[in-house]
Amino acid sequence: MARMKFLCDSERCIECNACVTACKNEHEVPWGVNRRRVVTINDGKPGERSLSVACMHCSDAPCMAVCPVDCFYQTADGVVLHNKDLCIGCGYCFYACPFGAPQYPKESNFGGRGKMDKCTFCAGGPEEDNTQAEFEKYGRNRLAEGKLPLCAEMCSTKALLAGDGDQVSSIYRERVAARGFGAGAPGFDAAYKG
Amino acid sequence: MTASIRPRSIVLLAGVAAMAALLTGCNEHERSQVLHLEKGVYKGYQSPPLSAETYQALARRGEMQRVPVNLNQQLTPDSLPEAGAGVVVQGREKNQKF
Repeated sequence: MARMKFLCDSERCIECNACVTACKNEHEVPWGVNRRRVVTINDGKPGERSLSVACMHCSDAPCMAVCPVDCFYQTADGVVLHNKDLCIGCGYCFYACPFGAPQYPKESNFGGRGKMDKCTFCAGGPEEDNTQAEFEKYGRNRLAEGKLPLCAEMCSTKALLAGDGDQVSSIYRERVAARGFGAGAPGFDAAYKG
Repeated sequence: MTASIRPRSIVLLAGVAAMAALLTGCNEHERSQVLHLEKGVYKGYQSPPLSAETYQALARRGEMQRVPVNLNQQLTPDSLPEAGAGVVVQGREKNQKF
Protein backbone atom coordinates (compact mmCIF):
# COMPACT_ATOMS: atom_id res chain seq x y z
CA MET A 1 0.00 0.00 0.00
CA ALA A 2 1.42 3.36 -1.01
CA ARG A 3 1.67 6.33 1.28
CA MET A 4 1.40 9.49 -0.78
CA LYS A 5 3.75 12.36 0.09
CA PHE A 6 5.04 15.65 -1.26
CA LEU A 7 8.65 16.75 -0.96
CA CYS A 8 10.07 20.03 -2.20
CA ASP A 9 13.79 20.08 -2.98
CA SER A 10 14.80 23.60 -1.98
CA GLU A 11 18.05 23.25 -3.95
CA ARG A 12 16.04 23.04 -7.14
CA CYS A 13 13.04 25.31 -6.55
CA ILE A 14 13.43 28.47 -8.65
CA GLU A 15 10.28 30.19 -7.34
CA CYS A 16 8.60 30.15 -10.74
CA ASN A 17 5.15 29.59 -9.17
CA ALA A 18 4.19 27.19 -11.96
CA CYS A 19 2.92 24.74 -9.32
CA VAL A 20 0.61 27.42 -7.90
CA THR A 21 -0.73 28.31 -11.32
CA ALA A 22 -1.14 24.69 -12.38
CA CYS A 23 -3.10 23.89 -9.22
CA LYS A 24 -5.42 26.86 -9.55
CA ASN A 25 -6.03 26.14 -13.21
CA GLU A 26 -6.52 22.39 -12.86
CA HIS A 27 -9.02 22.59 -10.03
CA GLU A 28 -10.60 25.93 -10.92
CA VAL A 29 -9.86 27.11 -7.41
CA PRO A 30 -11.92 30.20 -6.52
CA TRP A 31 -10.45 33.68 -6.38
CA GLY A 32 -8.60 34.35 -3.14
CA VAL A 33 -7.87 30.69 -2.37
CA ASN A 34 -4.44 29.21 -2.99
CA ARG A 35 -4.08 25.53 -2.25
CA ARG A 36 -0.35 25.80 -2.91
CA ARG A 37 2.07 28.66 -2.33
CA VAL A 38 5.77 29.24 -2.85
CA VAL A 39 7.45 30.51 0.30
CA THR A 40 10.85 32.22 0.08
CA ILE A 41 13.11 32.60 3.09
CA ASN A 42 16.13 34.92 3.28
CA ASP A 43 14.76 36.70 0.24
CA GLY A 44 17.51 38.61 -1.55
CA LYS A 45 20.17 37.47 0.91
CA PRO A 46 22.81 34.75 0.77
CA GLY A 47 21.18 31.43 1.45
CA GLU A 48 17.87 32.34 -0.13
CA ARG A 49 15.63 29.32 -0.41
CA SER A 50 12.20 28.77 -1.90
CA LEU A 51 9.79 26.03 -0.99
CA SER A 52 6.50 25.07 -2.53
CA VAL A 53 4.10 24.48 0.35
CA ALA A 54 0.62 22.98 0.47
CA CYS A 55 -1.10 20.38 2.61
CA MET A 56 1.60 17.86 3.54
CA HIS A 57 -0.95 15.10 4.16
CA CYS A 58 0.43 14.47 7.63
CA SER A 59 0.37 10.93 8.95
CA ASP A 60 -1.04 12.21 12.24
CA ALA A 61 -2.81 15.29 10.94
CA PRO A 62 -3.54 18.04 13.51
CA CYS A 63 -6.44 19.30 11.39
CA MET A 64 -8.13 15.92 11.85
CA ALA A 65 -7.51 16.04 15.57
CA VAL A 66 -9.11 19.44 16.14
CA CYS A 67 -12.08 19.25 13.77
CA PRO A 68 -15.22 19.45 15.93
CA VAL A 69 -17.43 17.77 13.33
CA ASP A 70 -14.90 15.14 12.17
CA CYS A 71 -15.11 16.10 8.54
CA PHE A 72 -11.55 14.85 7.84
CA TYR A 73 -10.47 11.37 6.90
CA GLN A 74 -7.38 9.69 5.58
CA THR A 75 -7.57 7.48 2.54
CA ALA A 76 -5.83 4.13 2.30
CA ASP A 77 -3.04 5.93 0.42
CA GLY A 78 -2.44 8.39 3.26
CA VAL A 79 -4.11 11.35 1.58
CA VAL A 80 -5.90 13.63 4.05
CA LEU A 81 -9.26 14.68 2.62
CA HIS A 82 -12.25 16.49 4.05
CA ASN A 83 -15.97 16.50 3.46
CA LYS A 84 -17.33 19.91 2.54
CA ASP A 85 -20.87 18.80 3.35
CA LEU A 86 -19.85 18.28 6.97
CA CYS A 87 -17.49 21.25 7.29
CA ILE A 88 -18.91 24.13 9.29
CA GLY A 89 -16.12 26.59 8.43
CA CYS A 90 -15.06 27.10 12.04
CA GLY A 91 -11.38 27.62 11.19
CA TYR A 92 -9.91 25.35 13.89
CA CYS A 93 -7.99 23.39 11.25
CA PHE A 94 -6.46 26.62 9.99
CA TYR A 95 -5.05 27.38 13.44
CA ALA A 96 -3.89 23.80 13.95
CA CYS A 97 -2.13 23.37 10.61
CA PRO A 98 1.60 24.25 10.79
CA PHE A 99 1.70 24.79 7.01
CA GLY A 100 -1.29 27.14 6.63
CA ALA A 101 -2.88 24.69 4.22
CA PRO A 102 -6.59 25.19 4.98
CA GLN A 103 -8.05 28.10 3.02
CA TYR A 104 -11.42 29.79 3.20
CA PRO A 105 -13.26 31.53 0.40
CA LYS A 106 -14.50 35.00 1.27
CA GLU A 107 -18.23 34.47 1.20
CA SER A 108 -19.54 37.84 2.30
CA ASN A 109 -18.47 41.42 2.93
CA PHE A 110 -18.69 40.85 6.67
CA GLY A 111 -15.94 38.27 6.95
CA GLY A 112 -18.21 35.24 6.82
CA ARG A 113 -16.19 32.12 6.12
CA GLY A 114 -17.28 29.45 3.71
CA LYS A 115 -16.37 25.80 3.65
CA MET A 116 -12.70 25.06 4.08
CA ASP A 117 -10.69 24.29 0.97
CA LYS A 118 -7.29 22.63 0.80
CA CYS A 119 -4.96 20.57 -1.35
CA THR A 120 -6.44 17.15 -2.07
CA PHE A 121 -3.28 15.62 -3.56
CA CYS A 122 -5.38 15.73 -6.74
CA ALA A 123 -7.46 12.91 -5.23
CA GLY A 124 -10.85 14.63 -5.40
CA GLY A 125 -12.99 14.13 -2.34
CA PRO A 126 -15.79 12.15 -0.78
CA GLU A 127 -17.95 11.95 -3.88
CA GLU A 128 -18.14 9.40 -6.67
CA ASP A 129 -14.83 9.47 -8.55
CA ASN A 130 -14.60 11.84 -11.51
CA THR A 131 -18.15 13.16 -11.24
CA GLN A 132 -19.22 16.75 -11.79
CA ALA A 133 -20.14 17.06 -8.10
CA GLU A 134 -16.66 15.98 -7.08
CA PHE A 135 -15.03 18.40 -9.49
CA GLU A 136 -17.14 21.35 -8.36
CA LYS A 137 -16.45 20.76 -4.67
CA TYR A 138 -12.91 19.41 -4.63
CA GLY A 139 -11.40 19.71 -8.09
CA ARG A 140 -10.12 17.05 -10.41
CA ASN A 141 -9.38 13.51 -9.29
CA ARG A 142 -6.12 12.77 -11.08
CA LEU A 143 -5.10 10.02 -8.70
CA ALA A 144 -8.05 7.88 -9.78
CA GLU A 145 -6.84 8.34 -13.36
CA GLY A 146 -3.39 7.04 -12.42
CA LYS A 147 -1.80 10.49 -12.54
CA LEU A 148 0.22 12.30 -9.89
CA PRO A 149 -0.67 15.81 -8.65
CA LEU A 150 -0.28 18.32 -11.46
CA CYS A 151 1.90 20.68 -9.40
CA ALA A 152 4.60 18.02 -9.21
CA GLU A 153 4.18 16.79 -12.76
CA MET A 154 4.41 20.38 -14.05
CA CYS A 155 7.53 21.28 -12.06
CA SER A 156 10.18 22.14 -14.64
CA THR A 157 13.17 21.56 -12.34
CA LYS A 158 11.55 18.57 -10.65
CA ALA A 159 11.98 20.34 -7.33
CA LEU A 160 8.54 19.30 -6.21
CA LEU A 161 8.27 15.56 -5.90
CA ALA A 162 5.06 13.67 -5.29
CA GLY A 163 4.10 10.05 -5.04
CA ASP A 164 4.67 7.08 -2.83
CA GLY A 165 6.82 8.12 0.13
CA ASP A 166 9.36 5.35 -0.49
CA GLN A 167 9.82 6.38 -4.09
CA VAL A 168 10.06 10.10 -3.27
CA SER A 169 12.63 9.51 -0.53
CA SER A 170 14.66 7.26 -2.83
CA ILE A 171 14.78 9.99 -5.50
CA TYR A 172 15.76 12.64 -2.96
CA ARG A 173 18.40 10.40 -1.39
CA GLU A 174 20.04 9.93 -4.79
CA ARG A 175 20.16 13.67 -5.29
CA VAL A 176 21.68 14.33 -1.89
CA ALA A 177 24.28 11.62 -2.46
CA ALA A 178 25.20 13.14 -5.84
CA ARG A 179 25.39 16.65 -4.48
CA GLY A 180 27.35 15.77 -1.42
CA PHE A 181 25.31 18.00 0.82
CA GLY A 182 21.82 17.95 2.16
CA ALA A 183 19.02 20.39 2.59
CA GLY A 184 20.85 22.39 5.24
CA ALA A 185 18.00 21.85 7.64
CA PRO A 186 18.92 21.82 11.35
CA GLY A 187 19.97 18.34 12.37
CA PHE A 188 20.50 17.11 8.81
CA ASP A 189 24.20 16.39 9.33
CA ALA A 190 23.56 14.54 12.55
CA ALA A 191 20.82 12.48 10.96
CA TYR A 192 22.46 11.56 7.65
CA LYS A 193 26.23 11.86 8.06
CA GLY A 194 26.76 10.49 11.53
CA MET B 1 -74.78 17.19 -0.01
CA THR B 2 -72.06 15.79 2.28
CA ALA B 3 -71.24 13.07 -0.22
CA SER B 4 -70.45 15.72 -2.88
CA ILE B 5 -68.18 17.75 -0.55
CA ARG B 6 -66.10 14.90 0.82
CA PRO B 7 -64.12 14.00 -2.33
CA ARG B 8 -63.35 17.67 -2.90
CA SER B 9 -62.09 18.16 0.65
CA ILE B 10 -59.99 15.03 0.41
CA VAL B 11 -58.38 16.32 -2.76
CA LEU B 12 -57.84 19.69 -1.09
CA LEU B 13 -56.27 18.11 1.95
CA ALA B 14 -54.03 15.95 -0.19
CA GLY B 15 -52.98 19.03 -2.13
CA VAL B 16 -52.16 20.94 1.05
CA ALA B 17 -50.20 17.97 2.40
CA ALA B 18 -48.23 17.63 -0.84
CA MET B 19 -47.48 21.36 -0.87
CA ALA B 20 -46.36 21.24 2.77
CA ALA B 21 -44.08 18.29 2.05
CA LEU B 22 -42.55 20.11 -0.90
CA LEU B 23 -41.99 23.30 1.05
CA THR B 24 -40.51 21.69 4.14
CA GLY B 25 -38.43 19.03 2.37
CA CYS B 26 -34.66 19.35 2.10
CA ASN B 27 -32.91 20.58 -1.01
CA GLU B 28 -31.15 17.92 -3.00
CA HIS B 29 -27.69 18.90 -1.75
CA GLU B 30 -28.92 18.84 1.84
CA ARG B 31 -30.20 15.28 1.79
CA SER B 32 -28.45 12.20 3.21
CA GLN B 33 -26.27 14.28 5.48
CA VAL B 34 -24.71 13.04 8.69
CA LEU B 35 -26.72 14.37 11.62
CA HIS B 36 -25.30 12.39 14.53
CA LEU B 37 -21.59 12.84 15.19
CA GLU B 38 -19.25 10.61 17.13
CA LYS B 39 -16.02 12.20 18.32
CA GLY B 40 -13.04 11.07 16.27
CA VAL B 41 -15.05 9.04 13.79
CA TYR B 42 -15.58 10.17 10.20
CA LYS B 43 -19.07 9.13 9.17
CA GLY B 44 -19.27 10.53 5.67
CA TYR B 45 -18.78 8.88 2.30
CA GLN B 46 -15.33 7.64 1.29
CA SER B 47 -14.21 6.87 -2.23
CA PRO B 48 -13.14 3.27 -2.82
CA PRO B 49 -9.38 2.57 -2.63
CA LEU B 50 -7.30 2.75 -5.79
CA SER B 51 -6.89 -0.36 -7.88
CA ALA B 52 -3.59 -2.21 -8.38
CA GLU B 53 -3.43 -0.95 -11.99
CA THR B 54 -3.77 2.64 -10.78
CA TYR B 55 -0.98 2.10 -8.28
CA GLN B 56 1.24 0.77 -11.05
CA ALA B 57 0.44 3.78 -13.22
CA LEU B 58 1.25 6.11 -10.33
CA ALA B 59 4.53 4.31 -9.67
CA ARG B 60 5.49 4.65 -13.35
CA ARG B 61 4.73 8.36 -13.27
CA GLY B 62 6.63 8.72 -10.01
CA GLU B 63 9.67 7.10 -11.59
CA MET B 64 9.62 9.77 -14.31
CA GLN B 65 10.58 12.28 -11.62
CA ARG B 66 13.94 10.54 -11.26
CA VAL B 67 15.70 12.82 -13.74
CA PRO B 68 19.49 12.55 -14.05
CA VAL B 69 21.36 14.46 -11.39
CA ASN B 70 23.98 16.69 -12.97
CA LEU B 71 23.93 19.83 -10.86
CA ASN B 72 27.11 18.74 -9.09
CA GLN B 73 28.85 17.43 -12.18
CA GLN B 74 32.35 18.81 -12.61
CA LEU B 75 32.23 20.26 -16.08
CA THR B 76 35.33 20.00 -18.22
CA PRO B 77 35.71 21.14 -21.82
CA ASP B 78 35.44 17.49 -22.88
CA SER B 79 32.23 16.91 -20.96
CA LEU B 80 30.47 19.94 -22.43
CA PRO B 81 27.82 19.14 -25.00
CA GLU B 82 28.13 20.56 -28.47
CA ALA B 83 26.80 24.03 -29.09
CA GLY B 84 23.06 24.01 -29.45
CA ALA B 85 22.70 20.59 -27.87
CA GLY B 86 21.11 22.01 -24.76
CA VAL B 87 21.51 24.43 -21.91
CA VAL B 88 24.53 23.85 -19.69
CA VAL B 89 23.88 24.37 -16.01
CA GLN B 90 26.99 25.36 -14.10
CA GLY B 91 27.25 23.01 -11.15
CA ARG B 92 27.64 24.14 -7.58
CA GLU B 93 30.89 23.37 -5.80
CA LYS B 94 30.89 20.17 -3.84
CA ASN B 95 30.01 20.48 -0.17
CA GLN B 96 29.06 24.13 -0.61
CA LYS B 97 26.68 25.12 2.17
CA PHE B 98 24.70 28.18 2.99
